[in-house]
Amino acid sequence: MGSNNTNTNLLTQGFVNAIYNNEAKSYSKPVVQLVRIKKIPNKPVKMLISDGVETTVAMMVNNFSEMQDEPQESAVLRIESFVINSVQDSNLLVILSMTILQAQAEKIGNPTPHFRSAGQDRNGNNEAFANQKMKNTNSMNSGQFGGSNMGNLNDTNNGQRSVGGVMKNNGNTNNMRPGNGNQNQFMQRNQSTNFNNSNQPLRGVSSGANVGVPIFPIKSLSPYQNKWTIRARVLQKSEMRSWKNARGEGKLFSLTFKDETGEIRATAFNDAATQFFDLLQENQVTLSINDLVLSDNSSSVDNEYEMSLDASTTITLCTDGTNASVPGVEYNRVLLGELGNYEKDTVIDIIAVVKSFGDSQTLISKAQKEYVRRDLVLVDESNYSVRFTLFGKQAEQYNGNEQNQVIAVKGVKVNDFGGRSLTMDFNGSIQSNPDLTIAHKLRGWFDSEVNEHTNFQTYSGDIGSGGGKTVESKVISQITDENLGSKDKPDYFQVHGTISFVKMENISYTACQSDGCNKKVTEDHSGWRCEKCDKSWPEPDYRYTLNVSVMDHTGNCWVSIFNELGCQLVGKTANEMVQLKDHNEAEYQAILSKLIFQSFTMKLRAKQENWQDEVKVKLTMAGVSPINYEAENKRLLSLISRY
Amino acid sequence: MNTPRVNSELIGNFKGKTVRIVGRVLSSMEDGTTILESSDGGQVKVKLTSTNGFQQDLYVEVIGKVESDMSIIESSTVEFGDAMDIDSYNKMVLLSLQFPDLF
Repeated sequence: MGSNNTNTNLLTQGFVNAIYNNEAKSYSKPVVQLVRIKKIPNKPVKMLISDGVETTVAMMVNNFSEMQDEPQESAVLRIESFVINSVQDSNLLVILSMTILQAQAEKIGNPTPHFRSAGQDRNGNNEAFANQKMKNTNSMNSGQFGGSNMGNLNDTNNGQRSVGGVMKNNGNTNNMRPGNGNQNQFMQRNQSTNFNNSNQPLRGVSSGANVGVPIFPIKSLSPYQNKWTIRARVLQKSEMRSWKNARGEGKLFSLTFKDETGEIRATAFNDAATQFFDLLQENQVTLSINDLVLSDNSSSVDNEYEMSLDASTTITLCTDGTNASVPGVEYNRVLLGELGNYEKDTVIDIIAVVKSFGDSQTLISKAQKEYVRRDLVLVDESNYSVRFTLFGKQAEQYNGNEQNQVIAVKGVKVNDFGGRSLTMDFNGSIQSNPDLTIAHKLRGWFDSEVNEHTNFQTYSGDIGSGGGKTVESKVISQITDENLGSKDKPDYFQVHGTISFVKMENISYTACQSDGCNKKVTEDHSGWRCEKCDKSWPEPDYRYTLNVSVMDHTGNCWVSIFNELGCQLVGKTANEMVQLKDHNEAEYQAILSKLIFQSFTMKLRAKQENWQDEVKVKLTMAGVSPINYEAENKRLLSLISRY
Repeated sequence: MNTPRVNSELIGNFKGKTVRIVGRVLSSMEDGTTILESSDGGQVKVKLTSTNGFQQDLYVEVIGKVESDMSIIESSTVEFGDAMDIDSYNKMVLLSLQFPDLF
């Protein structure tokens, strides 16, 4: 361990050994040299590092995305924060963040590979293995570290985080890292002998003592660590749900944690659920210590993973001043007047004033189940008013004693019922009169500018849909997949499609000229005769029966277009087109061809019909409008985020 | 080999590589130095080579190589006009890196 090379002063010798003897935690900001680096796409970076004495493998999460420059081989690195993972029955160093001290350097020392006992060739002669692994001890026997005489060091310092933690000394002053003011603290003995280090998780809930373990950003959580601590706020907590199935029964509740770096969904099962349900309240800051179980995320929360809280999890409430540093709920607020830009089923956030609210009503659903609902009317400074419907517990718990409160809602689903209306998304949460600048501004606006004469705009029945019917966006393959049109009543839905073909023949039929009568007329000796009106006309009125093929990325279908929409799309009346066909067929075809490759949002009506013993779905265009790309983008993005 | 779409936060991952970035022009000097506000709100410096400069507030897509100082040497640009749903675009950028085989 002597310094055979002044450069070895740079590196934290003994650190590698310490990793495998469960002593690494007593090292603060160890300095290592990067020997080799291996980047695999979509996987954490694998590195071979040296502490001047030995080399070993380490992983780096985040793929250096946090760093200005990527380290090159031979760089001297200072590890700012790290964790040690138990992998099979060995340990693995996982680096969370680092700083490059020297971009390139000569090889320092003459390190030899540290042999791990699990899964690697053992050469036998390795002093680290002369002493068997000590798990879960407080490393009281430190003799194996080549002469450490500093006795019984404890892993972490009470109340401090890894930033300024205890640095272990090997008895060789050359190992003091330059510039580290904590050099003199290595003698810090364990003041509290019943001190809890992360090797032995404290079961249950402790009363707020901050164990001196490093706090990890939620953004950095991954299955590559299994012991970590986060400090986060409970954004949203669900009700306790229970289940019973063939395999047994249990209960669970779920919540969303948030800190400065991100959010993550968590679920607590059975015992853990009972234990934590009352402790965790929305908006409080908790300090969680966990044995991590991470799985792929299936919620709409923005994180690759979600986590489970189980019997080995500990949670404490933050009572120190760090509360304020954890941000509260952040809203991406949408003004009520902008709702037209958001398609049905998009999930957004709203901050608005409750202009009025109804009572909580208990109703019976079509499935014969009782449910509770309450309607609120929301207004905001865009001078629009929109209905917001609450269900279930939120409907019941709404504070009916307060008039005109400001509510901030995260996770609002946009509906097109009545034009535009709102409901809660499954994961949403409501804050009443929140302490936000925008909420105060709304309060001020409402109190000073709004009175009983204020007119608010509303969304009437029609935004590209007819008469307040809820119209869902679908893809063409869903027409056959979902058997649309097979019920007694026709199905209405919308597609975003492109016209791929126009049938040039039979684009219209001969119709009766009487007002309001569109019945087909047939030619006979007296002219064009309408059976219904009992009249004959010298000329028929031509009305469109255009047939076009519509296509999207999932398939195509034939759609019939009648007179009103036909005129709109073609730009000429059917009468004009019939005449044009006689005079100038080329131009007639050119005009119809212009429709090809035009894209629209089309409202379609589907109804199955019997056609010569075959059941076919007949599709009619019931509405057409240009594609609102902005709204459709938002709808798709919100669908993707919930996938 | 596709040109990845980036924003100001992601640019650091592509040093030395050619990328595609969309942003709003904040300033554009005569010497060709332009500052863009990229889709995530951060700023990116671009050194133009194919054109003289842009109007302020124009949305543009620049294709260029990322220097070690995180600026971009532009090789070509497309103008997108002065209105754009840049938020949705940013979400798409993040998705495009999450699902690179779809792009």
